[in-house]
Amino acid sequence: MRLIVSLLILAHAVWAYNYNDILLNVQSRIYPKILLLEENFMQRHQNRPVVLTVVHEKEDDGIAAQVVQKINEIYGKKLGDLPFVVENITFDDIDTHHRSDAYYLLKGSEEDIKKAVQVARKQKVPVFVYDFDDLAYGGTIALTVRRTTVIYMNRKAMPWIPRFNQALYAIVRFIDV
Amino acid sequence: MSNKSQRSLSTTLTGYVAIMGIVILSATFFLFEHYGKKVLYDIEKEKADLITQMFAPQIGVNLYLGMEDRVIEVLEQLVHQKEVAGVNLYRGSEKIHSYQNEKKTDTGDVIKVLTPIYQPGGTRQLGKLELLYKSDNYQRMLTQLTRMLLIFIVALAFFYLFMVYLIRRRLYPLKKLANSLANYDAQNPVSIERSSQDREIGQIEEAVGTMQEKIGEYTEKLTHMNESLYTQVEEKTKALWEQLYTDSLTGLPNRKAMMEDLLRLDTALLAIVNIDDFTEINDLYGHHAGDEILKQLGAKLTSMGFDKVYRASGDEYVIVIKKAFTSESAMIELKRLREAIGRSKFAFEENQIDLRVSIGASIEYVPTIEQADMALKEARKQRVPLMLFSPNWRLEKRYKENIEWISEIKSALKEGRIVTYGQPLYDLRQKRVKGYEMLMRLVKRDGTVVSPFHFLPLAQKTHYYPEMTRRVVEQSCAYFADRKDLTFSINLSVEDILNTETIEFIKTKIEEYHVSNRIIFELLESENIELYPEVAAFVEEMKNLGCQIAIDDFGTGYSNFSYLMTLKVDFLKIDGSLIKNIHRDRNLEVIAETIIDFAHKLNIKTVAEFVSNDQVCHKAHQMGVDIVQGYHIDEPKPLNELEKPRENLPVCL
Amino acid sequence: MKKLFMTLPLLLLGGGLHASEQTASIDSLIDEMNKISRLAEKVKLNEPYQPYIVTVYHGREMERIGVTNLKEALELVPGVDMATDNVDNKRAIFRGSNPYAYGQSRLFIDGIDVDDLFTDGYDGYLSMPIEMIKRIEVTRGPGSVSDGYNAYAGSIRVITYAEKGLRSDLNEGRIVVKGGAYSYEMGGFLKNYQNGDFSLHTQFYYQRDHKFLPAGPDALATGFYGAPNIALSRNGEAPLWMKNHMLQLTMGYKDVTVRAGSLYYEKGSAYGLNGALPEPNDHVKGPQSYAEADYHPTTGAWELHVKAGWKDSEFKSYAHLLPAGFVAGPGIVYDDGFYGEHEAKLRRFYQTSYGDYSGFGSHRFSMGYYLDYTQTYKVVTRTTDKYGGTGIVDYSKSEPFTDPDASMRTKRLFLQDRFSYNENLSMQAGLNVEKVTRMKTQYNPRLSIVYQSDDHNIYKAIYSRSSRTPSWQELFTINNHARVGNLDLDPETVNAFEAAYIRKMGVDAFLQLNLFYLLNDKQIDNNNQEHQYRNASDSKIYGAEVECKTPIGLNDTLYMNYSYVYGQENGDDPLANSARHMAKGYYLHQFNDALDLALVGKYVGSKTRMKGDNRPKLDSYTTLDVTLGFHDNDDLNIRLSVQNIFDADVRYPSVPHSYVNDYPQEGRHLMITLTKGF
Repeated sequence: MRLIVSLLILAHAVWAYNYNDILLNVQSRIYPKILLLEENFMQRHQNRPVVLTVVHEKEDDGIAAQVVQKINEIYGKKLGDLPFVVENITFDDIDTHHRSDAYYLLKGSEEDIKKAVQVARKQKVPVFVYDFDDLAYGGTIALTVRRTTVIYMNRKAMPWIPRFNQALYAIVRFIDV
Repeated sequence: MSNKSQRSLSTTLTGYVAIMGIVILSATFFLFEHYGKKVLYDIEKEKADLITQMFAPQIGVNLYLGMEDRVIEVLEQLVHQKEVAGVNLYRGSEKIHSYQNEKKTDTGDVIKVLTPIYQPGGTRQLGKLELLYKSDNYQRMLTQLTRMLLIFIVALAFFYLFMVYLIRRRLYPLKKLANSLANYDAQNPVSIERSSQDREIGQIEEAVGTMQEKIGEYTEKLTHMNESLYTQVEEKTKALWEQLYTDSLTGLPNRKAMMEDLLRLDTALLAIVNIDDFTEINDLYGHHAGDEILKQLGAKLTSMGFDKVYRASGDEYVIVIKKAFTSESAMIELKRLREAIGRSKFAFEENQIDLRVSIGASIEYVPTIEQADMALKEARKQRVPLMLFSPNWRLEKRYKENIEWISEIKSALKEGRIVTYGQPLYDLRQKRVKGYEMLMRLVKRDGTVVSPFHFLPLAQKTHYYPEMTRRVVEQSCAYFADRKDLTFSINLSVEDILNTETIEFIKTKIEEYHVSNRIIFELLESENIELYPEVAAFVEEMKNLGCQIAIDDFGTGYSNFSYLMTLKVDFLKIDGSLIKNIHRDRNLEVIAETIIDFAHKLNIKTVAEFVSNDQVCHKAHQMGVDIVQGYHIDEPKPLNELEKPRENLPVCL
Repeated sequence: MKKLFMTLPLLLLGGGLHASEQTASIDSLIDEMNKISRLAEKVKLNEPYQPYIVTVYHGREMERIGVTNLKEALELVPGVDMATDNVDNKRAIFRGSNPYAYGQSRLFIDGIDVDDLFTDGYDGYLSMPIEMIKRIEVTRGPGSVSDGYNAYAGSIRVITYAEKGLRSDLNEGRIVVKGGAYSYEMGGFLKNYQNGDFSLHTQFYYQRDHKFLPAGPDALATGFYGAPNIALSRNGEAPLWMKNHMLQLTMGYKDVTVRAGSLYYEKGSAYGLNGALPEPNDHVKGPQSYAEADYHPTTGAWELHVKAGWKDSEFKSYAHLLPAGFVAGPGIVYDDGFYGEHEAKLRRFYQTSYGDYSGFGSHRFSMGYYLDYTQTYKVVTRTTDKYGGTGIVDYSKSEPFTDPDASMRTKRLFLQDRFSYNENLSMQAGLNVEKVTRMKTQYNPRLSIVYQSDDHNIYKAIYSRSSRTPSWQELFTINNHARVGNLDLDPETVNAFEAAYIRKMGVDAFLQLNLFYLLNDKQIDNNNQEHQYRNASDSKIYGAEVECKTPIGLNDTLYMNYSYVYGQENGDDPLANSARHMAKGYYLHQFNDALDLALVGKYVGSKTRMKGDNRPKLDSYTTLDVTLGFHDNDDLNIRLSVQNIFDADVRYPSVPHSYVNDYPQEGRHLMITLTKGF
């Protein structure tokens, strides 16, 4: 019970409006863990910090800031043994010069999502999405809560991301969109 | 005895053992060949399956994601498993990867397992994984099992031979005994010599010898006994049969025989012959004399050539002449019979006894013993010796009774023996006796009181009836003139109402005694009163005087509720037949309830008659009856005893 | 999820590729996902997959669209309508099922049945401010039996911020201030505190208003009290004011949780206990207190709950029940009218234990029992001399208005198995056996199937039977002409057949279609000459509900529902006092991060009168509420709502021989809310 409690406890403020706060909580908790399952994750990063970028529309600035804060609280700026940096950026500002090891896309228009996906593909990093439907625009990984909790992986996007631990593939559900 | 069962026991037993051995052997072979090998094989195959199942999903994921290097990695790992001889991966029918384990198998044989590889979470087949599983283990186990089976067969063969020897040896003396007994006959015993060392079989041999002797003795005894028993049984049966249908004294057929014969009788003369004053003979000469006389009379009757003669009972004989008779010819025949008996001489020891008989007879189409009996009684009554049954006797009896009643009524009226009784009507609401129903009674000269049930229907047809009604009216009015807190009711029939003089009389009396507001007239529902305009006129007239009207025995006829309204009835007396069993018959209860409800809606009070016990009384109370009447409350009493209070009021009140 | 646990070790053994450093990570990932699944079920995040038909509203969202209390939130639920009576005892009517009974729907706050023991109603909690509510789960139909309660037509589960596992902060707090029309004022706070294994949640609110609404002519006008009293009938303002505060505490230490609550509730006598318009200060009080201890260990495959609790419920009325000059019978005239004080105190003790076992294949078994004992422990009946005169006479002993020695026991046993045939198909079978003093044993089975053909389409089919034990009022009211209790009552029963189709279109977008067919038996009311509660009617009800929610673009959200109810009572009579058509919805537009606008609309169709009531149908109405909200990043919210902006004539139906013009509700009115998190 206490584990469930602490699992979902994030910092103070209230999740904003068109977001399902529980889903946002759960994703913030799970997505970095998935990142940790990248093949040879430790070796690849050596002592370089791991960067996760939360991408959002301008209107959702507050929410994005809160997501960043929450992830930081959960992980204490460490992922595995590596330093962990969580940043946020708007869809407008994102470009290939921004270095990141993974992106977490909040809600966005189709164009914005596609744009962010292109940036990520160039960098060969995974794209986590808030909305399951954004997998259709090239997102890599989405976590949904159905009758059970399910992690979806977009097979079409696999060529543009690093490989993950074999065990992860056994528990995710693949879709072709 | 069939040939088959003569086969020796030892052969049969050894046969059975042999069959059992063969069955066990074949079953073992069959199980080994068909299942043992297969089970061993399946165990190994399952192991192989498990390994492929474990690896197939990983290969599936990697194939699906196009990660060839990982596929190879997994296959190499697979082929390094100790039991694996090699793996092949197919895409369609094309073999895309193949690996062999460097360590060769001992035999070179392998078990092949082919598993489809599916897309993760889907049903699309991406390829097939073939696992070559070393069969070393399987072969090893197979050899072991075969060796065990051989040992088992040899052991079984030895066991069989030993059993055959044992059985034959043990059963030899029995076989010998059986052979010597084969020609045994009770008359010609065979000699048995003890040959077996075995205790049990030796005992059997001795016992057989003793048994032979005993059997010989018993057979002889039995033959004699049978013969004598047969004769005895036959004699006894005959005697019993005769006893059943024969009078032991006279030797004549008895009453039982008669009753059975009469069932088949049609046209005939049936006569009962009864000895007059037979008891006197018994008293004078003793029972032996009586018996002797009965025998002689029986013999006499038999000698007279009637079709049948029976001794019906004591001193009664019945004769049957199967012939059609007129009453005249019958009487002649009977006279002849009687005279013949009169003329005959009957004697006991030294005494000569004269017999006289009375005869009752019937010549009806089917004469019955009852008819003859009635005729005999009539003969006795009329003190004549002979009488023929007449069908008119019954009607005559009734007519005579009527005449008697009419003269009784006439004298009763003259002598003031038509009196009035009263039965209380108890009001359940006010909890008191509210009044009385006036009932006519006839007191016979000997003091017995007769209810009108016995004479009223008859009386109504005579001209005495109006006078009887008037007596009741006169007596009632006079009695209640001064008892102003009580009501009284008088039963009137349609005849009464149609009689203008009676009506006038009633009116006069009401005025004379000032009882108009306390008198109640009870009219019988069953008399179709609604059909007579006179009744309506009477009711209206009486109601104008202040009198009240009750309908008696309501609920028996085609209860016509509407006239209750036109007649403005004050009371309904629910018929006794409805009330009597109301506490135990749900149907009656429903009918009564309907009547009570209806009456109350019309403001008519209800009276329950025939209240005979507490339960009925309670039930009536429960159902909302206003007034109860019946033996349970109090019985009808003469007017002078009316005001004697009952000692104990019933519980229900 | 069980399956995942099993395949994983094999994979790691077989593969062992990069297992070494990452095994721990994948293990903890799976563990968390399992826990999320379990939690999701508890907080109804995955409600479309649950074997019952439920609508879930989140308090925060309700706040944003301008809903101010529990009652207004319930009015949005498809198939749910509000009804009231002469003492303004409001209750939610589910799918038109028996609008005269109170206990057909039940209210639970944090799992505790808070219905008042006297009427089985929950009027006192309907005004609970929405800011105190984290989530409302409204199950239509008999619902689940997993915790042993017997819902009949529906159950309302209110979850406050005391709920563990979803608090945004260990030590979250919030204050609320509201004000509005009818001199409404409200203040409240909630606060969570956690320290190690110990946690404490406190919430308190206070509210009052001075609401009077036009009413009349009152029941005297109908001649119900005889011709001489018709002239005494009045029109006027019905006192519908309230004074209300509630304190709630939830304490947790390890596996033990203690919940306690106390509600003080006082309100105007509304339309009068006897149907005569009361005086402005005449009032009714319905305070209630409860406490419950819950021991809930989780060991391996077992999840247990052992609970014991107590509840005290009071009903008090102080009112001028009949006007001066009232003629009560031959020679009995109340010159000063008829004054009455009625008070009944009831108490219940209960104990229940139930558990979930999920250690057997894909099955999840639940079983448990529930026992309670309820009794009346105080009755006061003081009124004007009933047989004429002006003095007050204490009838508490001689003619109490409710049986002072009444008591009842309930025993319930429940079993359930949920079986997941595979990822897409799950089935549930349950049985609830209930024995209540004087009542026949009730066997209530339940069967359901949930099938998802793919990630977007879910189908459900449910059969369930349920029964409702008659309320205290229906059983034990005595010496009273307007209500006559009846000890021979049988429980009401329902056989419900339901089917649902859900299309999930995104994270928060869905379309749901429900079909239902209800066979109600032995429905209780007192609409007869003697006003005695009787098992008077049977009804057949069928209908459909469509519910849909979808975001439009990034800044707008639309929620709509429509419900259709058609029913027949006692054969052919149309179902009375229920709206055949209802449509509700809201639209939320977000101007930017700080400002938004919400519109809430409700259409409630016309209502047929009951048989023998010759009044024309009660008119339909449409209302629209508008709310403008502002919020900043520090959780400061300010909201301004105008409710019923077009001042529509909203009326709740009255029974025959009462207020012939029904019960008019609020017109256009205003509400300002300010909340601040800390």
